[in-house]
Amino acid sequence: MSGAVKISRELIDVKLEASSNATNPVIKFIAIIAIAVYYFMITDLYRMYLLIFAILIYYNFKALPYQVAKPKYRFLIIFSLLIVIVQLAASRQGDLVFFLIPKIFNLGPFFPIYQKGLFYAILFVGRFWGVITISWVFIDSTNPFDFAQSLTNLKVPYRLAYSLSLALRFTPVLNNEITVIRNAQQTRGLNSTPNSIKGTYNLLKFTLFPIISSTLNRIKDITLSMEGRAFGLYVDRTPLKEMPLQILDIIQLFVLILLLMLLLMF
Amino acid sequence: MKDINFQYSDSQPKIISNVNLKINKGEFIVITGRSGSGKSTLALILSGFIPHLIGGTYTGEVIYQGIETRSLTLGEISQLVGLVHQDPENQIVTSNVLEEVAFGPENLNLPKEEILERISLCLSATNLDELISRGTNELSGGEKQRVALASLLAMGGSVLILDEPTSYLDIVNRAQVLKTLQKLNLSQNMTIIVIDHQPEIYKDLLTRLIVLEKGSIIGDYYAEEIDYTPYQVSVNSLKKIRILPPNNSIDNILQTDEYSVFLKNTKILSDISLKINSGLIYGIIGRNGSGKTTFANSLLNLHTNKGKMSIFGKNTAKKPTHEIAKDCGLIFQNPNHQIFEQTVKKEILFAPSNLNLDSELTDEKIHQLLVDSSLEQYKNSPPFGLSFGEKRRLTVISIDVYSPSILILDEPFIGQDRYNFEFILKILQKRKENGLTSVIISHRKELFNLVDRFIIFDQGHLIGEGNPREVLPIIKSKHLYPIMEEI
Repeated sequence: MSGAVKISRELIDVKLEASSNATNPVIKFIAIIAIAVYYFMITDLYRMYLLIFAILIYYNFKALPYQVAKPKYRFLIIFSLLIVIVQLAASRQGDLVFFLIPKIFNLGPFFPIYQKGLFYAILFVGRFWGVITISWVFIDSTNPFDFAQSLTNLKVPYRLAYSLSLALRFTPVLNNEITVIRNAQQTRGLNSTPNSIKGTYNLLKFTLFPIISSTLNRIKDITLSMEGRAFGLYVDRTPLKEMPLQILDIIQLFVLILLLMLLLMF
Repeated sequence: MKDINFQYSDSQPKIISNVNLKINKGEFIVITGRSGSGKSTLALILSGFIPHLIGGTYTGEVIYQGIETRSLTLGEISQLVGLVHQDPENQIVTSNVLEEVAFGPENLNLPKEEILERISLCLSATNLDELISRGTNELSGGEKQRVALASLLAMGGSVLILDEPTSYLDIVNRAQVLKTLQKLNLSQNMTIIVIDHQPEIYKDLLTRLIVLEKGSIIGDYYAEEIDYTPYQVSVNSLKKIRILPPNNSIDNILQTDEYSVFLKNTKILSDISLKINSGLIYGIIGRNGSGKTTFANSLLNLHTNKGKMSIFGKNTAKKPTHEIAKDCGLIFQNPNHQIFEQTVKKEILFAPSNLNLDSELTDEKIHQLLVDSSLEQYKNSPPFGLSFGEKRRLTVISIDVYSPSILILDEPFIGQDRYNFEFILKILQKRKENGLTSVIISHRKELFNLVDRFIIFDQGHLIGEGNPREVLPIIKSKHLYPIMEEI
């Protein structure tokens, strides 16, 4: 074995050793599900928002290894507003808290806000933010192919496991493509912040075609790349990284579930 | 290859027609020809994707070492031959270098020890040992190209096909890739087949040049017989444009002062102070990752910036992109990103209509543009169905149609044959004659006889601005061009 080849081999061993010490992605996935379930079981708004806040702080200040771009909060805020409007309009239970539009002279008041409506609006927004933020942490801290391998260890067929991991791998890529296309629209004189329904319709219309074209091209290229390297040739494949379930992973999961149960009970 | 014929569908003409070709082990072959001549399709046939994965009417035989590829599965063919695509970015599947090189051998279900052995050998052969822990999104263009090469080498095949392997690369990265190919060809006796519009890049490596036209082989030359002139843009046609005197030249139509650009809060460009005049052709050059594209995008406020930036003396720092676009057009590297409409004719009208400039456009002018760009026959066809070269011509005319005072073209020559190159030259000539400014970002050597002035970036800094002769020492010292006889 030549000197250079020997060096490569040592570097590979170091790299494999480092990745075997990371938390098993399946355990991480179960933990995420457990936290999401917790969000749907509790109605204590203080605890819920405290947990969301803690996760947001962790997410924004910890450099997660697979993070490609910080998410835009605008979409979350708009969607949250929609949830609030629907809940406030739909629920008329509980005490009347206030009117959104107070009585002015002989007009009004309009849009009564009831206690239950307000409560459900804040609860559902919390659940929505909770699930989204915890999924950000999972996506940005997990190597998609380690996740696929750990699923394969649990007897999930590797073709299925890799389809899932490819979706994770290319989510940020697609996000980036959308940004490029939005930029391209503006360089061709299209207003990216239209203030009319027609403008918004045009913006969506002129995003759809390039995104479809770009996604189809990407799928074609990745298919050629994978098939051109014998993906799916055999029923089994040899994983370089084993990603076995370790005792420490199971202990971590157990502690988390115990903690969540305690939080639910007390 | 014996009597190969292929057409993608019955409604389309034959893309490959009666191709017969014999390639010996250890040859280094370059396949060239105009855009749409069938080069990439031939690569797909040689690598087994046609007929195994891509549909169409296919007849003939491809035989590797006595085995006809139709009797093999695609996975089996992948152990004989590998195809590296034009843009390696689109070929990379996994998140880091080690996983990418391991991906193929893992699929072959080889013993772990053999996988490790293959990875070690391939990383060494492509000089990637140091990059083993790197994320694939952290690699430069040249590094990605070498990772793509290593990942195919790990399949254990003896034939490598590369589709324009150096088109995205600067001169240093290109030299690295060529050196790797030479090493594989000479020391490992690998057969290398390269598809490129610029065969002269490989003149020290190739053993044969094959020329395709309309899907058929029209030339097959050994190294000593090759005349590279037909594949090169003539120096005179470039100089003819450069010597045109500036028409009604206005100074400082675009100016930046202590201008910095940020991407995700990281400073990418620092303290750029630059003045651009009207009626000239500028070339922006620099190594991969030096900030050329970032600078171009930032001029239209697509990135966060600080400092002064003005067009025609008006501060544009806070102006929205769609308003700056009226004075400053930008053509992206990838034409697929800049096509929006459902027909070619509507696409030409897209920007003028957004900018309320469509009333100035007559049917005759649009017709003339379509004729000049050889797109007339497609005027009612969807632009997404055009070839890469046709899309490039369409994106160029779709912005040039409203004659912005400044036109920035980001790598307009990638994947373009001589015909498309000369089409872009005509646009540049017309713009110069009309006193309009053009700015080209490119690694192509032709720039040195074409542009009036160079703007040189290095690691996020402007390190030079001036006519080609003035900046020659910088170009030499930074290895931006294999100097010098063309200048």
